[in-house]
Amino acid sequence: MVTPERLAALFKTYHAPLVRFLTRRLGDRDQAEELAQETFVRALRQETIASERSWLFAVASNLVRDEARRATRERKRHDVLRAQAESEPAAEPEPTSVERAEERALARRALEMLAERDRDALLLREEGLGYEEIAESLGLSVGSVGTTLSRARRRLMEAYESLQQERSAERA
Amino acid sequence: MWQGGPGEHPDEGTIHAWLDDALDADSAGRVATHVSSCAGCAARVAEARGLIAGASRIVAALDDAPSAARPPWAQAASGSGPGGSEPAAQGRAGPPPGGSLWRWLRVTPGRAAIAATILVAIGVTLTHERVAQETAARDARPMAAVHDEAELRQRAGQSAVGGSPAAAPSAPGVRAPGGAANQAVADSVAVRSSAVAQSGPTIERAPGPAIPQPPSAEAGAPAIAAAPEVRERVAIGRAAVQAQRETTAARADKVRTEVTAPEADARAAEKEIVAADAAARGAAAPAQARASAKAVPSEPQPTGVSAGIAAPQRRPAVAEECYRMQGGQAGVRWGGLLLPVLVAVDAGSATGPRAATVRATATAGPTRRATWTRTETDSVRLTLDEAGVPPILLGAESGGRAGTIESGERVRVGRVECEGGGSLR
Repeated sequence: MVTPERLAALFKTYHAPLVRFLTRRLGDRDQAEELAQETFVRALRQETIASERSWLFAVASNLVRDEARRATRERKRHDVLRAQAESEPAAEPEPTSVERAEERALARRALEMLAERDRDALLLREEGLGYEEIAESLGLSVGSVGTTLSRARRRLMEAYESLQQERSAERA
Repeated sequence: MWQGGPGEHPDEGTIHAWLDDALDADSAGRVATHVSSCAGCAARVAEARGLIAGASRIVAALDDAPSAARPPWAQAASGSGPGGSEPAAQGRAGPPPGGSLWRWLRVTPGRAAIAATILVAIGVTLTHERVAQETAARDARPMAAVHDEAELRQRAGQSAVGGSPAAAPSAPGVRAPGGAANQAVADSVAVRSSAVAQSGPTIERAPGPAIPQPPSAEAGAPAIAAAPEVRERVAIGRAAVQAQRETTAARADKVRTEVTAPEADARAAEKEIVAADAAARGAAAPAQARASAKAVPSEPQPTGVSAGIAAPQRRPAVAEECYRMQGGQAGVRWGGLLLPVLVAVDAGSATGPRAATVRATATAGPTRRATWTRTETDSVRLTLDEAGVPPILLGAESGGRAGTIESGERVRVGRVECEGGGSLR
């Protein structure tokens, strides 16, 4: 059983990276905090955790998938709302934040265009996980992590540039 | 694993693994040898570097996530948050129709108990650390504490004997320890504790500049004359404080002169490398250029460093931190050390210079002394305390830190646990 003292140490070390990973994955800080908390709850129920960082990020990734399945039925309504928001750029509160908000929205849309495994591998790498840890978290072979990451990075860049061009064309 | 046979070229995955320092030493050496002699693969490596940098910046752009500081109940009270354009945020703008608010908050008694356990454990840990730091600081500065305490007692005594007209019952005075003008004095723990002991219904005086001003010998004469040993301690304490202020000011001047010009040079070097990567990427150039402009401030910001030095007691303290620094490619050396190396940064202020120890990670070899200087913009300058070794400039923390040695090689720094003398992953 993971002791409260050990859990506190895990929390201190990994809470911030987990929240950052989940925020990048989900785009919602509150939801990320919630799933990070759930991750630590599950850690407390474990008898032992061999590789703590890999285990925590793997559980967090699984929770994201569960959340995505739960949210699928609302996606259509989200698309409608997103279209409305994009058609009303004047509603942005602060002119100085417009560009950053647009970049963030482009980055999120580009990330969502990746395959789930590519996306997870990329975000885990950005959190500093090594190839072995990424392989362990996602159930991949270590040898395929490089290929997965290279594909994820290339497709992310291509998607981002494509979205940028679309935006430029719309404004032209 | 790529074997590097005649006529074989490493695939893209191998190149990314090599740039991520994820290959074993033999494979990395083969890739490095091949890339150095194959123009096509060198171009692919440059492109891969651009992809890695570009993807990192796109991912970093996600960090401005909406509703960062607003708890769920605040969103529920005011509708959708500032990130209402984000689909996930919109889906969470309030409890679902007919759903339970309790369920929507998703806080169960079990989770609450676990969260409380975590908070208590962290609180106990932080309290212990804080007490240890304050004890160490008090032990290191006995004269300053003596000075502050004696000064407060002197002032309190002055008020108690009717030195201030505000002591009259008809005057609407302000209690001395709580006065806003007393902030400078109240910064000391010793002063606070003394203030509590000294405060009472009779120690009242009107607010005014008399409190923060250094007490003159004339003003304090009655109380000091009654206690000559206190006057001696006050004089010693004032001398110690003055010496410390001068030392702090001198350090601030030194850091300003050391950091400003070289950091500007290092930032310029970082920009050039980013631009080269963007150029190699071709069509990615506009996006990366904007991203790099965002990631690297256009102007050096020595004011953040100097401000941090000038007011060291305002900066939050951080515990010892350990990092693993690896080269962007195999064979990168820094001051004669072959990367990767372990960097152990001593506990100290979050910003400003902190002493550090550098050693090779592969062996328990000799250590080298270094200085880790983090600015308020979260960039870091790492210098070996030896002449002739170029410094390393690291960017802001984002799942690690990327940077360059001033001589041009790229490096990446990732956090590791300090326990066990650097048990690196």
